[in-house]
Amino acid sequence: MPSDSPAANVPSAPGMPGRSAPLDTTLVLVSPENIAFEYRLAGPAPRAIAFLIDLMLLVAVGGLTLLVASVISQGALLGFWLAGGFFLWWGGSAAVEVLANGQTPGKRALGIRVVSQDGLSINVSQSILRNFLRAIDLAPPFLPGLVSMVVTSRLQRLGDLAAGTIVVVDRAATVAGPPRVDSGPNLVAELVPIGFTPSLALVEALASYVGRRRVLGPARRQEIAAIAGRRLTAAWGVPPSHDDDALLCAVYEQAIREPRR
Amino acid sequence: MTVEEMVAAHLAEWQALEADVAWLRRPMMSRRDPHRILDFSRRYRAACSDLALATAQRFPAETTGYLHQLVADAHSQLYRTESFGLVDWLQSLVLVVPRRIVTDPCFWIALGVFWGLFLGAGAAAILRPSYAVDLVGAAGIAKIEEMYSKPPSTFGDDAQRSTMTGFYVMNNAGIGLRAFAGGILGGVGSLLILGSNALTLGAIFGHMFTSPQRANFVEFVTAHGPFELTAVVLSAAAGLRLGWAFLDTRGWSRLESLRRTAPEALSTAGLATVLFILAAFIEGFVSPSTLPYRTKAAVAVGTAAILVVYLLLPLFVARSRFGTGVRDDA
Repeated sequence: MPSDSPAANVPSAPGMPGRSAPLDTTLVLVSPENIAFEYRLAGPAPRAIAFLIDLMLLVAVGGLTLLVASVISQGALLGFWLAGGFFLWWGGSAAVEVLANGQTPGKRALGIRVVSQDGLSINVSQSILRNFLRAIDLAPPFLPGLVSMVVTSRLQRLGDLAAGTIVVVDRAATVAGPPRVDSGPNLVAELVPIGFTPSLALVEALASYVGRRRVLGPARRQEIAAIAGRRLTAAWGVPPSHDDDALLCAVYEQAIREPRR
Repeated sequence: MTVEEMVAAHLAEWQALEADVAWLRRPMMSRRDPHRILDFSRRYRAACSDLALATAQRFPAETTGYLHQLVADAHSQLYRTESFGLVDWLQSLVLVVPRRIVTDPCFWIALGVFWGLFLGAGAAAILRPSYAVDLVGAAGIAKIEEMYSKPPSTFGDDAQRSTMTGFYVMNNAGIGLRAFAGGILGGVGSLLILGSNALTLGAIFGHMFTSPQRANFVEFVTAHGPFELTAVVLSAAAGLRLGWAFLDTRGWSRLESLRRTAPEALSTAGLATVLFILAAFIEGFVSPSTLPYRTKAAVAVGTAAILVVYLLLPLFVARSRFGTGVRDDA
């Protein structure tokens, strides 16, 4: 493990202009290629559910093996079952996490993954540590792990703090293209002046608007779009549009089609 | 370059990188293909520059988010941490770990706390017969007295002995690991578990020493005593080391100090777990056996001697030959 990696929580890497750190549970890491990439941190709720799934699996395995052991041996295998239960309870998750690259079955079901806090895969010692310390993280009545997750910036429980690990959201690979305006022909497109080049920040804002507008109702769309639409029409010196939503879509469509200079 | 042009030009490479990452995540080391790994690292660097371009051009969150995930996944596969080496681990267990334990004040504190409370409670139980009953409870004492009213060799057949061995592993080693984990709360959890176990055990020992079942009790507890009691101390010492790292940071931030100390404490807790398991086998199969008491006492003396040699010998091995055992950054 690199002892002093530059992978601190830096808001923006050198040479990466523009965006400020998002007000979000994202963690920015800098790779040796001098690229800042983001991990989305997993919060207590999905992690608790993942743990419960693992717990149910463990109970199921324990119950089944106990049944088998008692049927075939009338108790002679009970000692092995008890010792095996010890190893499974304290080391099972750790073994699975190491073999399956940071995912127990529960974590896989919830789409989350344990990684080292410098962005690397976890190693054996980290995995054992964080799972041993789960005993104290779950200790009633204060649930120190939950308290620790709330007060640390990287949502780490005590086991994560000692092992230097974080739990991140493993997003499914999605379509990488820009969001599209999937409505009919745009009737207000001619309002946009020829040669108008929106700033990069505006294009980014428009892209996030277009990406989300499909979940908004028509009235809400107009209400939000009016904020930027009124300013644009005022700057162009034309009367306000009756359909600000379509206007923003038109500006966006042009911006992602035309090459930037 | 517009977003669409970029996506159209690179999507195939990105998806190839996704497939590479999925391939590398499979634990089958033997199927590794060097040409594909070379392709993977080339694609990773290309994805890095694509991400830089996408960020600089403020491409939409759909595109940059996808690239962030892609680069993060590939990064965690390209830059692996060192894997587990059995030989290194064994060498460290024999040479580095014992030296670290005996030069660590936490071990001596845990040892002092345990034996101080153990002997104190034992003396109190001998001097005042009601002490053990007050501490452990009348039902518990009655159960223990009833258990030792018969000689240990009558404690059950082989099946019951193996069951009890499994139970000792689960229960005792579990207590040890809880004592270790509790140490992260400034060492308090370790001290509580260590102290309560020392008091209870001391009171029971003292009480049984003055009771009519004394001979049976001593015959049972002798053989596994050295490993089991030392394992309790070591577990708590490992926990105290965690807690102490949080207080005495040696110039690091508290969390960094904890993170740097935790693997050392873990190796001590691992050693304690090994001792608990060995003790469980002795407790399950030697202590209740029909072997004469002389043999059981010899087991106790032998295991105690092993512990002393294991812990103290590395101090006398030439340091230059095996490194100092002290962390490089200390």
